[in-house]
Amino acid sequence: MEPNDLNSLPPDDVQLEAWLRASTTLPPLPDDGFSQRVLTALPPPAREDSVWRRWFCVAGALTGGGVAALGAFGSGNQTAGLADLQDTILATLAQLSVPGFGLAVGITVGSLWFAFRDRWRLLPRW
Amino acid sequence: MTDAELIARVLVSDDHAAFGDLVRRHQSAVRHFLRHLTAGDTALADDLAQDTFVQAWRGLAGFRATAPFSTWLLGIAHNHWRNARRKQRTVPVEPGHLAALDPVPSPAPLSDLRHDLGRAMRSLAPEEQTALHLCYQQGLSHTEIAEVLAWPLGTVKTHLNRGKDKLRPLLASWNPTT
Repeated sequence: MEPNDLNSLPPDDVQLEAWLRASTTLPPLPDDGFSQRVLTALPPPAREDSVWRRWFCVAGALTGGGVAALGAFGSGNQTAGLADLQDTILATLAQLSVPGFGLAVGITVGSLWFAFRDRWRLLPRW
Repeated sequence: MTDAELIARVLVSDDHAAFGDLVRRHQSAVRHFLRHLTAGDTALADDLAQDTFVQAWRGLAGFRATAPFSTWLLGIAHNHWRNARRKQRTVPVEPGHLAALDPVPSPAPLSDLRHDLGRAMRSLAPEEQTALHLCYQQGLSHTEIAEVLAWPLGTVKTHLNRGKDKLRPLLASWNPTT
């Protein structure tokens, strides 16, 4: 709370500050069941397995991606697999440069962020 | 347990008990502030306080800890009061909580001072009353007041100084010995 140094204030201000501090300090309000009413009004707790469900989704996505990658590398010789993968990635990136597609991706990502913006802190940390 | 630890427990596991501790810890400041804003209408103030904590529960993930948790709560409370005032023009606009609040028996001179100060406070503009309430009754810094009320820091200082300038002559003749 500024200013703390009452000595730096004019005499009138020192007295007024002292009165304000002495006479306006609030006594704590008794709870009187208020906290319980708040807790009753809260939405029900999220299911306890929600964090595990998120981990499961992450693990599933990684597994699916891994299987897809193995499929790409596993068929034919490895050099051909790499070339196919590179072609696929380049083709995808080329599509991103199409304004309409880029806009659609942007809207999708923005919508997902907006929908889950209050939950991102609950995602598992590495 | 600190506020930050309780908040972490709420965020990680939707811990109602931890949030209950936060409510118990901060209910007095929030309810006092809303009683001030609603001119001592305790029922309305408590309804708004309940909405404030429910909103805090929903938006807790958005709390960035750049200011104390209590400051964040008071900001939500102020927004709720403003919204309620907009929706329902019957909500009193002029805060006058200081005069209504004197629940603790005080030594006679201090009690007289509270009374006179409360009466003098009622003559101030609502913004000046609110700034003085947050500064002296809630003990907030000027920066915290600016955050709660979403005012520029200069505006906070202006309202505080104007309020004190108006109080000074009103209390100039006050003498506890007479």
